[in-house]
Amino acid sequence: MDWSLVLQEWKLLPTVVLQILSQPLLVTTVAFGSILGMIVGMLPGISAVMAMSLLIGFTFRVPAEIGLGLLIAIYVGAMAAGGVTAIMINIPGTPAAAATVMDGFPMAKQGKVNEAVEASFSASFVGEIFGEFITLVLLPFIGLIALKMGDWEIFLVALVGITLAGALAGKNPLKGWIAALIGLVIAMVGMEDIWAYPRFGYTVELQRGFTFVPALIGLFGLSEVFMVLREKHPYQIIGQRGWVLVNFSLIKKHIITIVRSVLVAVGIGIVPGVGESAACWVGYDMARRHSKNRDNFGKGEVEGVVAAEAANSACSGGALVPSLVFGIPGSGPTALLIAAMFMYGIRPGPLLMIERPGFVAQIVVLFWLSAICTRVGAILISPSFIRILSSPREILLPVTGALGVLGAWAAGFTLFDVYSMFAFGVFGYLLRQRDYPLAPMVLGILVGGFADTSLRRALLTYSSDFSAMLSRPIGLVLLAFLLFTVITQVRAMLKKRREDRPW
Amino acid sequence: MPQRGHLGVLMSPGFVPLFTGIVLLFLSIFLNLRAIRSGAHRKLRQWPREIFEQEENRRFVFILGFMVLYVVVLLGRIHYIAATLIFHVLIFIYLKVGGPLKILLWTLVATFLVSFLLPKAFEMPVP
Repeated sequence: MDWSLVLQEWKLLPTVVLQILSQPLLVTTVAFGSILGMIVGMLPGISAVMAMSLLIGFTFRVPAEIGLGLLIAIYVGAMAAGGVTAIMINIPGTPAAAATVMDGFPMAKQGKVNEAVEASFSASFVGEIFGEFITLVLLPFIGLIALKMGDWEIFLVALVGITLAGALAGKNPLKGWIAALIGLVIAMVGMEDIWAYPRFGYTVELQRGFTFVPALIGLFGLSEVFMVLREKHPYQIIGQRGWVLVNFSLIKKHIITIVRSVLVAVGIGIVPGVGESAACWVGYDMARRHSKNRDNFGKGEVEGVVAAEAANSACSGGALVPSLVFGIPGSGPTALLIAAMFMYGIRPGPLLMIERPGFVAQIVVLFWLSAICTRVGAILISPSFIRILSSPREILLPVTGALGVLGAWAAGFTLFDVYSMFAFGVFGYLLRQRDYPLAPMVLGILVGGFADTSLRRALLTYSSDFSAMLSRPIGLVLLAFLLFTVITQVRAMLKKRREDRPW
Repeated sequence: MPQRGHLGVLMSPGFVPLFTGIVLLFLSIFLNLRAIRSGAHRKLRQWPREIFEQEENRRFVFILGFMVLYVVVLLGRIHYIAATLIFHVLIFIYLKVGGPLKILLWTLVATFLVSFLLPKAFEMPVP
């Protein structure tokens, strides 16, 4: 990485800020995109990727900065608002909001709706600003680390994410890990990437495999519909309502948690395809380990919401690094951003900073502007959304079920996706009945394909020489962290078992 | 590039599913042994009876039935708007969300949002 190129981006930052703010059309587009992103983020089944892919055709007709600004704003808005559905109806709007459910939903049930949504948006806002800032400041270092990340490290990050989610999402880590492994097996269905061999491909549809969106909607959305509506008197969300403002005292109180989550998330975000969904769990785990109120985590602890939301928003900064520096998409939305860049004739890659000075700074400023617009938008539209999402569950959840059907259909426009969403919903309901957490399973489905391909590609690269794989420094750190997590969880489980014994 | 099977089972497409399956099997056996040691098998006989007796389970079967009717029977056979309307009417009546007027109002609002407004806004074909 050439230092002068990075310094050039830093030097151009003030000019870029003024340039963007002096374009009213661009600022208005970003504001519109943020609100649109928040709406799609709050609607269960409708994702940021869907909205971005629908608008990408439209962006071709407008200048590059406006088109990219719109797409970035939708991404940021959806990431921030995904936590609201997680808090209000126990259904994460995006996979990255899965850890927000852990404490956000119990808070809402305790009547602390406003506090939870405020914490979610505030942490998300600070996470986004810090995340992008750290990405810009540390770009050369992150770029160097990203270059050292091979298939073996990608596999280990996926494994860390799955192990942490399994250990943290439920009361029993064993059940969490079983759920995660079931998710991994589901991800194996379909054509594999290395030899194009159809695994479990008994029908034409199964050869294609399960799409992630129907699985997410079924496991989180439909199972929640069944779980809540089976009660004769379902719970209702009650509590104070009002403006969802920036809670500076909350930010100040949890600043260390936020900074920790941001640093971890930026580091993990650089792992293509895996980072974003794993980062929220790592951030959540770090917060839990260091918190004075660690026993309250999972029961409605505001610090849990702050840690998860700061991490998932800051992750977009990390995901930018492989996208801009190497042209490798870090996640679904960044893949669409890369597609839009190609459409405008901008070639992401190592030469980007030479060919287009100030472009990286421009993208970072657009992320900042989107975060600010999302925060303002949250103040304006959140009260209405909280009111809608506080409607009686008997009315809200059947509509969510029907929306889920539409969302599953939109994933691939085949009835197979709708049927698989339905099957995942029933399976998810049965698992929840037996206290199996669903978040690790969803993460397993999401990263399973990546993990499998990365592991086998690493084995192929090193001709199955494990000593060469184990001598890679980043891999060693990740492996040590993985072993530490498993050992501490097993020890905690055995300790709890000994305490529970009557004799 | 090496051929499939060149590096043995490690590189084969079945390696990760096989490995995952083995770990899953061990964890499941461990979980079952723990459950048996804590005496869970003694409750096994009462379990089916409890399932049928609980009102929550009966309600779940009804809601599942409405979803089956919507997803498996109606979708793709009748128009999407009609299928969504029927689903909402039936489930709102079953859940007793209010009087006939309230049910009609909520059905119309929900059907308009799900089967008309959103597909129109995102310009997507409907099932």
